[in-house]
Amino acid sequence: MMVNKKSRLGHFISQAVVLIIGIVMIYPLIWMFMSAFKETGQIFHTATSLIPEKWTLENYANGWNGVSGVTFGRFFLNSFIISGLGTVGALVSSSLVGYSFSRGRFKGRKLLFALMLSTLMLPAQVLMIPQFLWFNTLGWVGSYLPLIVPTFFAIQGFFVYLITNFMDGIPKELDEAAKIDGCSFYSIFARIILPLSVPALITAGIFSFIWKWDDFLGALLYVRGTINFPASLALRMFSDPSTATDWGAIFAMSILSLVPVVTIFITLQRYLVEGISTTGLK
Amino acid sequence: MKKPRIILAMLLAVMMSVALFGCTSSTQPPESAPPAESSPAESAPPAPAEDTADELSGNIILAWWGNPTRNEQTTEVREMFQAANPGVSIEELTVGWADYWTQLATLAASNDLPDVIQMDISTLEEYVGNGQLMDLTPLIESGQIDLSNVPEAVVGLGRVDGGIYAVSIGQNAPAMIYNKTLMDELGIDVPNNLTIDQFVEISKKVYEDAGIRTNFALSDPSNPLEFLVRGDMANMWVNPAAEMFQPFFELVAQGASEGWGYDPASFIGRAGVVEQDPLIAGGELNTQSWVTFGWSNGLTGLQAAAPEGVVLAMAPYPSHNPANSNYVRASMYFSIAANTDNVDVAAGLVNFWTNNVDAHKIMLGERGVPASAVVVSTITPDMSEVGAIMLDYVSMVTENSTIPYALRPAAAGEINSQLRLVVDEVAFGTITPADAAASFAAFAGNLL
Amino acid sequence: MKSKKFSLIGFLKEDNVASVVCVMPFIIGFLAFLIVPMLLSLYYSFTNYHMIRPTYEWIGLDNYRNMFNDPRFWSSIRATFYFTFTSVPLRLLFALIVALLLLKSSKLVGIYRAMYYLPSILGGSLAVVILWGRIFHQDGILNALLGLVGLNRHFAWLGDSRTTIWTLILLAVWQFGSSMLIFLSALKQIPDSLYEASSIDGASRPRRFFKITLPLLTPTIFFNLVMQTISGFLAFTQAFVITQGGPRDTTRFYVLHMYQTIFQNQRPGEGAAQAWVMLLIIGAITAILFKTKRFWVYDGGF
Repeated sequence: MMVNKKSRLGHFISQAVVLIIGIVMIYPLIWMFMSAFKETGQIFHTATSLIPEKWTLENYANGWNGVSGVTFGRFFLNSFIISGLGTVGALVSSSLVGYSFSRGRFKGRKLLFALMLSTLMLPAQVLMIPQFLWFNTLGWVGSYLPLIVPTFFAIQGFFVYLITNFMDGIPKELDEAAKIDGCSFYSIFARIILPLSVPALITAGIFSFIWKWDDFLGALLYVRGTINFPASLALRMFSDPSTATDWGAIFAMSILSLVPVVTIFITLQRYLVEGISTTGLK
Repeated sequence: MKKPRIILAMLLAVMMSVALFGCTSSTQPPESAPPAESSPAESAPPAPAEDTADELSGNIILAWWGNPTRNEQTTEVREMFQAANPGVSIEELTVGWADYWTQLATLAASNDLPDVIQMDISTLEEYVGNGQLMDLTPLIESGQIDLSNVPEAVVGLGRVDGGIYAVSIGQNAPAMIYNKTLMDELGIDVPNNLTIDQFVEISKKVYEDAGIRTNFALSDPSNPLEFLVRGDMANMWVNPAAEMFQPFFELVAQGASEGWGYDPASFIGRAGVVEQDPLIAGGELNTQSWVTFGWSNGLTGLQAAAPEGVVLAMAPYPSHNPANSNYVRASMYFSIAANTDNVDVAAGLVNFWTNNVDAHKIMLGERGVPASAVVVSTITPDMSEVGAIMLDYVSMVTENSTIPYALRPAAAGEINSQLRLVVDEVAFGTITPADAAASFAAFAGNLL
Repeated sequence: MKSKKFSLIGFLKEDNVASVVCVMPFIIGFLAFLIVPMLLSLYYSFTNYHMIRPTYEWIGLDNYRNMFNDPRFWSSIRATFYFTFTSVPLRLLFALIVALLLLKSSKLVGIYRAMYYLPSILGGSLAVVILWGRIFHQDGILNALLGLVGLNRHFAWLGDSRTTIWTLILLAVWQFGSSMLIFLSALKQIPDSLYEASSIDGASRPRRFFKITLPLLTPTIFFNLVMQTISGFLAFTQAFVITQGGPRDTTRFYVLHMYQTIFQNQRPGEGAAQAWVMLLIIGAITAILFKTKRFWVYDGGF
């Protein structure tokens, strides 16, 4: 009896703690969401209340107008192009390479795998300038190529690692059976391994998309012309202290820039959680 | 047997990858194709100036840093120019001040500078020195850029090493913008050309009577510092010495110890944000300032953002030698890239910007006093009250200044950033004014 | 090749050839986008390369010398170490505690998990970084809330050199959700039989935690520690957007320092040198962490 009561109390307390922490964590996001519906002049005057005194969509309208005649619609389109192609590239190349690491037999496989793992620990910033100069030599600066092409060469170790790990978990008997049926290395990949790896591909795809979506430094270095900016860079420009103080519009566009990420999160949460749990990464 | 096979496999893989690569670039929609790659190719054929004298055609890129008002105005004027020259198309590149220089540096590195570039006094020399900008002298002589209505002194603002590499698109002068309403309430008169002592006296009185502080060193400390140094007929960007800087740091220390100096901690997040300027932002008394050390053209924005009933006014920064200290500078320039593919259109745009009265009826001095005297006199009736004050102020300073403004060297950005750090340390009391002056002079001397 | 008929298709279908074909994108990418830029960067670190100057010269070790003589470099080292070695342990600790709490509450675990994980997903976004700056602004949300409960509502969180870095640490800790998920799944993999055995032995709960749970989690903790330490050293966006390194350089993170060296001070050569030094620092820290591994990381099976 006693023990039971005590543990019930403990359970209640831990529930309450978990709930309170959760609310505190989410509060800033809710605050921003609600503030975007306030009149822009009122946001910081009524910072303590979540509910707008007067609901308005003006911030969304103002923000959507964007910068120097380019609307946020355009910026979002650019973002989708970059993130979309970048994700396709990461998935195509990482699954091929991951398959080879998982099933391939060739000299130097272990060495290559180790090199791939080492890229996990290589800070991208180390390469910021030399990569810029190199892309410059290739004549790619001023286009989306530097943001997209490298993803087709599986240099993001995280994705390769995630996919290799997953493929290692697919029973080898399946390949062997297929081989007896006369399937080649490629058709085993296309017909058996790839379809079975869809969960890992989705996980990798989600991360790839979100990371590309958030990246503004790459865009700042490589993208030219306001009309070609992705949403992340546009938001940065929009919120630059010297250029803007329309907090209502900034928050409204911030919220919009989070929509794709939150949508992915809600619909594909299961894959994210599984991906993280199985690889122990990110 | 085995080796050639592997090599062959590698070759094929390369080919496959190349195919993949090709596929990425072609799946990119045409409208998002980079300006840098598309514009030269398209604009090359119709470029020659010979075909018709006044029909401009071709593509150029126009780059500027801005704020929402300036962006709107710039776009509008750009459209006017295009309407007048149907064969011209202009692509815009605009970002905030800080990112602007990052972008411009990467563009210069890739030999891809925009055709018409908004330039600043602190970067002009560096870009010219590295051969990135075009000498406009021939264009000015041929009349393609008509500066006949621009006073000689203003034309001279764009002179570097004997060439003219930039055309001012607005002049301004250092201006101490203050809360006139408050000063009237307190019975304080702020005359033009205060001495340092008078300035300190006013600051103390405002603090004692109203509890409001004085922000003179935080917005951009290099401006008041340079102003003081000019009073001694010295150029801090050429031979920095501790004696030049010590009076300024002493002022900072005095303000901090006596309480009237603005607290750097409260200034975070306010730099460059008009609405957040302690002059007009309101809030606790000790986070307010009666003054801000800015530029004459800043008055418009500050007055517009000021609370109702607050009238702002301006006066030159304090100095022991105002005639030496005061100056008029180009608040911004337009330059043309050395490697532009379309000199004629670029020059046409700069010319339009300098001389077109209708364009200036839209901009109304947002970038500063227009370069052309004709433009100034034509738009004066259209100017608001604040705009008229601004024009008067700059002409007053023009008459009362004796030493022309010298361009800042390339290292100015880094030196400024160090200065900001040292000012904070002095205000915080971790370093004495004498040590601050010595260490700052050494730092600057090292870079110059 | 002799007389054997050569078939291209057949050749490509051989397993070892096919494996190489499949791994080829990585080999090419690794060379083209990592090795080449790294070598270039090493080379540039010995030159006075300048973004807007067409020519440059070999200047030997000058960049390295300048960099170590720059007091702001040491400020950046201090800020970066401080940030990394507070935010990473705090984040892991927090993640572990919440994971343990969540392990028990069975009903709403899905909702809580989502609630906690959302910040990790959004944390890299500029929108959140901008928001964070407004929370701690002098006229921001936190002070408004403090005023509501009658506390001092005018403290400049982002202006005081004692508190500013903590606002950034908090932003990092706020994103503990992904580590929490990792801990959760690791906790679930601990077989119940171990606990059953120990409860028969009469072990108390804390004892069970320190004797069973924690040791079995150490490999997970270790792995996260290494990866997050590395990413802690690479912190950039939050300082770039919120503090610009201030006040008094207390949040001048290494990468921000590097960025400013390259773009504000126009010395990409020195920036490249800094990048290499950072690589060495990260390598050394990782190596040290691996050295300590055998003292605290459990490497037996269950």
